[in-house]
Amino acid sequence: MNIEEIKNSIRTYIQEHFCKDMDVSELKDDTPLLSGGIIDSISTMQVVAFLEKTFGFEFEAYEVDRDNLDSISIMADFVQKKING
Amino acid sequence: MDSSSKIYELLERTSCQFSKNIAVVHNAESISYGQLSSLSDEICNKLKKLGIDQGDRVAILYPKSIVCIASIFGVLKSEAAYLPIDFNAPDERNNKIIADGSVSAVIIHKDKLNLFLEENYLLAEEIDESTLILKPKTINKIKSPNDLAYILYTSGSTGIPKGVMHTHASAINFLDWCSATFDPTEKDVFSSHAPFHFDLSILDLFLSIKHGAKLVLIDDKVAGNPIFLAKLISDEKISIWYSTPTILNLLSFYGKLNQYSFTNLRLVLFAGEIFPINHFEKLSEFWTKPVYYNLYGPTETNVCTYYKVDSDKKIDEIPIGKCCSHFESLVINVDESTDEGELCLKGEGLMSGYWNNPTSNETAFYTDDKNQKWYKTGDLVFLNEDNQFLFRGRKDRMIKRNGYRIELDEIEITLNKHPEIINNAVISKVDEEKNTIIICFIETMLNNEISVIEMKKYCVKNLPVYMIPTNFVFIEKIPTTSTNKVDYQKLEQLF
Repeated sequence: MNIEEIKNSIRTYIQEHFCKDMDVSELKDDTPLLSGGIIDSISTMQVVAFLEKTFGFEFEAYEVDRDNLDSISIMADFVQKKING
Repeated sequence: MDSSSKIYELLERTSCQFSKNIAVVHNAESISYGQLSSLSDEICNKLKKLGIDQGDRVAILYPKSIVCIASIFGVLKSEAAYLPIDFNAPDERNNKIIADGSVSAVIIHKDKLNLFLEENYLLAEEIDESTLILKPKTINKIKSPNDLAYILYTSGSTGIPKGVMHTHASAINFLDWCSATFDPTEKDVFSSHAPFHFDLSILDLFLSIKHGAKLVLIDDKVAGNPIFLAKLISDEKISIWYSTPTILNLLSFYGKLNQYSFTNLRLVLFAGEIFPINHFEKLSEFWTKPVYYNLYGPTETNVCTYYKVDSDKKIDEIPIGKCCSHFESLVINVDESTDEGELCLKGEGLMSGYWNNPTSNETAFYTDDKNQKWYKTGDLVFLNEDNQFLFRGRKDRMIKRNGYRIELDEIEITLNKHPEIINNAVISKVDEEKNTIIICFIETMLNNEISVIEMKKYCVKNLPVYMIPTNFVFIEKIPTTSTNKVDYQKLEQLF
């Protein structure tokens, strides 16, 4: 799966679950999600569970972190690293 | 039970008795009882050199850490009261609290210095290279009651947080009740999940120290990460866990609990909000061994009622239970059709009042026909056939989210300061998964719609994370009632 496909999959999930009240064009690949107040701690875990299930890997405890999850691009890079071992 | 009259004496006693035992663990660091006592003495001496004494207040704006705990005890040993500030809240809100508290010193992490502090405070001392003590440029002469131990600020309906004052006596009475109920020993390992500006921390911090137990500090950064928490509870062999139901819920849903063993966990305490019974059952299926307690109480009382969950008894909801031994309860204005009324409390654990807030001090109490004063919680309760109180909702617009109490008016007042917003109205609802959500309706200047992302960014800058609305709805006009007040019922129908 290439990086664009990963991003698309994440974008669709975020839009459907956390941005229902938003104009689709507002959500950019680099829009800050955790630090921008769009995703809170509970939603973060929903995202983590989604990424694990969709891309077939497990987060280590320390990886559930803003550094790996704060935007669609950051998440996609992290996912790609994980699935490529 | 014990003769302590000040909470710092608890550390003085256990530091003699258990000098070499580990008092606090924070990631890879730890400190023994003897060392913690010495470090807090050093901080106390620095504060005393600055003239800090009984009747003063010292703000602590510092991340959860061993130094932060030593600072709390240092302040208490200097006979002043500590005023813990939310390290992650916006500067503007924190500055308001520091100013409102008329503090005589601020113990601060150097990264948190800001313009307001630099303009109004001077660097007076250093505890270590990143820990500074500031003192105000203008000497503060306002004295607090002598026995004051701490002030915790909670959301205020006027838009300005309210300072709830607790004395050493109220803390000691609470801790004595905890000792009798939970029977902790020096072999226990306590979690410190709640931040220190949240009243759940009083139990973690002082009950563990009182009994010479070990306290494991959990950083704010990982406090909402159940995968991390599950591993930590297992690795650190935590025996007494205390948090909000939100966190326990995250643990049971996302914590991968089946990957770890939790053989040491003997007590799970929860407080701050309702724990829906189906969520509780999911957790107790994983964690079958511990005894569970629901602890209830606003910041003004700390824990005042409690309920020990009997796993053999089928219940539809978890009661808030019966009064703790250091409190008495009274239910007023009982509605005859529902048998529900407002819970009022008095007792040895009650706050001594709100700091610098005569209006709230006037309105918060009910005086009975024997001229006794009772604190009105604003919570509606119902007494069931087992003589246990059940929580039935609020009288006003205060809500609980992730255990934090939030005055919806504080959100409205803050958002109305946005230059493009004409008016806004905030309501709260419970979603399908039983999470409390906040919905903000916004009326903006004509043709000037603000994006949701921009609104969220504005909130991050001006409100603590737990107050940020979940949803924004832009509407032409906020509906009003015939008396020109916001029609919240109509708004509820709109979402």
